[in-house]
Amino acid sequence: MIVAYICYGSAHSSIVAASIHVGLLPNDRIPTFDEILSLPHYDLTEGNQIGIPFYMGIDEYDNDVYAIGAKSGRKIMMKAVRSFLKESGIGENEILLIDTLPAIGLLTKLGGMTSRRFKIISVGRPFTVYGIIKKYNNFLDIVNKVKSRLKELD
Amino acid sequence: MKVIYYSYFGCYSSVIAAYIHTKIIKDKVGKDVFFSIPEILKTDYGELKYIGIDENYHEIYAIGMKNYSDNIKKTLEGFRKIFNMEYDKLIFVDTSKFEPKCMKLFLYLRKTSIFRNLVECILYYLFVKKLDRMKNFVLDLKLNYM
Repeated sequence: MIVAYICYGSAHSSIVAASIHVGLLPNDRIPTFDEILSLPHYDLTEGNQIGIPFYMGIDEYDNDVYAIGAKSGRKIMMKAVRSFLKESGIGENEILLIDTLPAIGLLTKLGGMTSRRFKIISVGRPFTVYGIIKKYNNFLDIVNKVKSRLKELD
Repeated sequence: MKVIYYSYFGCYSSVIAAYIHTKIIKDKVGKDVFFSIPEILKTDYGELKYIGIDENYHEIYAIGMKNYSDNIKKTLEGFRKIFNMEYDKLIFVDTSKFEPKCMKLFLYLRKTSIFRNLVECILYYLFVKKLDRMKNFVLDLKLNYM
């Protein structure tokens, strides 16, 4: 199965959720500032890369995990992916799409905008990390729910 | 190969182009026939609508993607690779230039019974007016890209 975490720009929340899922970030404690900054693709995605599925790793159930950005069109994108796969003869149980944007707070949104859109990275990036740390439990909830579902399906 | 005609709304120009591609629409059709096309003026953003198959066995679709077409195209292309569908090439065709400028207003007004007939007359007139250009557009696509 393919597990895809979806957010606005595939730079913060989807990367963090996917990283927790594949074990790049801890599931039992709050990660450090450097642990988050060292994640692949973290706060690095450029505007023209939004939409490309980034491979983040494989989980304990042999599912491939991806992070994708969809701007504000997450629902449309999810529907397009589902209908595309259906038309290609791939069953709905082959993919799990999860919106991670509700997990983040204002701090990460503002930091992300400052870093990615306005390119003031030195100011925006630390704010995104502090925002993630502050809301880390939201990410754990999302990933744990996904894993429970995967366990049921396994 | 899948040929996906897309526009903002996915219920007018992309549907007409897809019907021309599959030769379901060959020439001018009557107003009643035009509005009896199931996908015409039915917005369902993100839903890939299967229209038919062309003479080269390519599957033809229409879709509305609002302003997210650039991202969604990359995502669908990405999933095509993830699921190893190398045999199933995707061709995206933007039909926005054939979309009426006030489509949003037309769709809104069509919901009210007083304007329904007027809106349908305008949209049908635009369809007839643009039909030859759209036929050439689809023909050009078939000759150059398939």
